[in-house]
Amino acid sequence: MTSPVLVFLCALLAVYALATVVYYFAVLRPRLRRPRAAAAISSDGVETADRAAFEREQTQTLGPEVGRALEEWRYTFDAIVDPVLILNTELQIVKANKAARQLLSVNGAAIEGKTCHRLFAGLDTVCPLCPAQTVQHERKPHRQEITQRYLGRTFAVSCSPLFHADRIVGFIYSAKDISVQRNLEKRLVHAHKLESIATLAGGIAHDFNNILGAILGNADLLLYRLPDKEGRGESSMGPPITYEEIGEHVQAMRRAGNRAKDLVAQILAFSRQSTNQRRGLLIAPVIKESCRLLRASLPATIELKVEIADTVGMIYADPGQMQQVVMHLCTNAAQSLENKTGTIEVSLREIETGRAEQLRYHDLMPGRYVVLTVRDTGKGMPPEMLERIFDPFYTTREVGEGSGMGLAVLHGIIVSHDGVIDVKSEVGKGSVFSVFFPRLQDVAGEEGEQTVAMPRGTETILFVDDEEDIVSMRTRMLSYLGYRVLPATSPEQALGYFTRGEERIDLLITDHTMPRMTGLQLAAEINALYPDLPIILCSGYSEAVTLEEALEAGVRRFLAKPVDMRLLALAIRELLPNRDGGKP
Amino acid sequence: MRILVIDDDEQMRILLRQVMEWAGYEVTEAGDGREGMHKQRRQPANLVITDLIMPEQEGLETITSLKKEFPEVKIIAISGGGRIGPEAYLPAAQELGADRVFSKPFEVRELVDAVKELLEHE
Repeated sequence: MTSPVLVFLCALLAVYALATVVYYFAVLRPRLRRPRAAAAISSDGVETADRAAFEREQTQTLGPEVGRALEEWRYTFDAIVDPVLILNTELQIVKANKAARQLLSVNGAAIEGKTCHRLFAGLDTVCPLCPAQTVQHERKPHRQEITQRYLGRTFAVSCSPLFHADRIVGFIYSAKDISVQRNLEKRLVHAHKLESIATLAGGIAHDFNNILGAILGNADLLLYRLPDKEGRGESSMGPPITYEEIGEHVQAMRRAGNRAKDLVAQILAFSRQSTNQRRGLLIAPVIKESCRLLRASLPATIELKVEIADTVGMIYADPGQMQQVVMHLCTNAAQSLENKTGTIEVSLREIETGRAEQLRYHDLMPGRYVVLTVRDTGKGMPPEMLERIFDPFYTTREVGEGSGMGLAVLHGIIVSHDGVIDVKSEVGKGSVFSVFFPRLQDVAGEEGEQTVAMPRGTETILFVDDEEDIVSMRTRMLSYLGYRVLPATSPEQALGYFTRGEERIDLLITDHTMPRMTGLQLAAEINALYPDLPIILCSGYSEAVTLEEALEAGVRRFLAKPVDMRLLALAIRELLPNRDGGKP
Repeated sequence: MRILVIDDDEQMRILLRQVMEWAGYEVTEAGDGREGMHKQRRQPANLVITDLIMPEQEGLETITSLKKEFPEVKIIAISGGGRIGPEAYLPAAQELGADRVFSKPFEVRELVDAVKELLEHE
């Protein structure tokens, strides 16, 4: 995260830079005999020694005040610990502070004049997630997190426009290295997940024992009842087995095997070490399934009541992390029950926040929310404890009973889901944790309402998915937003549009899992022919496509299925900012 | 003779019914303790095979109710365990009145033998 100090310094820097530019153009330039490297926002590639000489000359020519101001500006610029660059509109470096030179310069060579994408990403073209494009489009500062594989680091990047007479003449670009922080967070979330799995072990074992019971039991019964060589069953019990009954036993074993397969997939999905993979998610089944496993994991003396409204809609969330949230809140609740006796109530419902909710939960914006509540009849917490429960390493448990990171990690997860967590507690009576997640609008049901706020366009989009229903639905929606849509139900059909070359195509949106050729392969093939054509890949949660693979194949945006129409509409506009022509 | 099978896991319930029918008994099924008690009141079974971890009404609670209302009924408890493993649940079931206990997965033949033995004197 960019600290407020950095923001302040950037702002100061921006003001300085702007003042320097204006002062230079208005006052100094006419007085200079040698206007070399004069345009404030141009790439001149001036060597450091030259620049020092130039500044000395300016000091002599312009007087000591301006010289001192320049010197102060340079000291301030170099004193900023994070790399800061002043870029022109071609994204070439005009000025770089000391930290930027240390990060980007090879053997002390000058970096001025080189493009930022060359230095940060080793690319000749603009980076796929470049914030400068957004800044150019929106004309206001933009912050973004970018992982640069070329440098092996993650940066919290801040990019601000530099104006001259209402025209953007460059950018101030600062990059705070947050690799260590992100790595630690990732490891912490993973460690916490493993803790949750340990909690779940009982529930998983229970399910597996049931499955094994069904497989072994059916196999036993089948073996007892199958006739031996003499045509008799091993046991004299019961009537002889029929073919239908043999089939039934085998089917039962097969069903149990499939259940085991699903359970393994579920555990793996939960334990997979991954960053937040948010998508439009129906959260009710996730909570129900977690509660089912929890029921078998909690001591029998604890009553678990689950109340999930049928009408709960979608939120934008990572299913594994949602499981982690409910699991942790419930184990916490169980630990607060004295003598492991009492009740835990889990409920999930939707609310529309009104004045009352906003007075009670200050962080809550007006809107529709999905609320997960976990209530226990445990010992409760005094106010001084309530204030600290989300602090890292704060724990009331004995050594070895837990890291004390649980609620801090949970808080992190909830905040990263744009959610709010609230806790009410009374000593001796129990606690209530409420988690609010913004509810996603229904694409189908509220299409009319949604499209009002969705950005529109007129470009030509090639949409590829092997499911005809999806193609026709998306074609309808994109056409409604003003686009011309070329539908394709196979990668071959999509490639046909390019080989025929009859159509101008501005954007390709493709599904990933398709017969004969995946979306990634299709993207790579088209990207090789038309490297400038933006590509959006839509992929399911379980399909193992990494961001790196996608970027390598030329994919510029990666959307998880089921695709939220609004996100798609926004992604399209981000990739097609005022493009005036398409390919081929 | 009639056997009541109580288990929330449908596949397990079907298997238990098939095993008991194969062994020559009539079988009634129930998906949880509450339904099991209801069926036992309407059509009493000589022996009840009950799972322990179930929604609505737990197996331990069911065993207590059964022993109270039907002191003569024989009870076999089976469990796939939970947080503390089947070994922690099954002794509790025995304490409350279960005549035999089995961990899942169990040997079909052993279960049938136990049922036969318990119903021998009926």
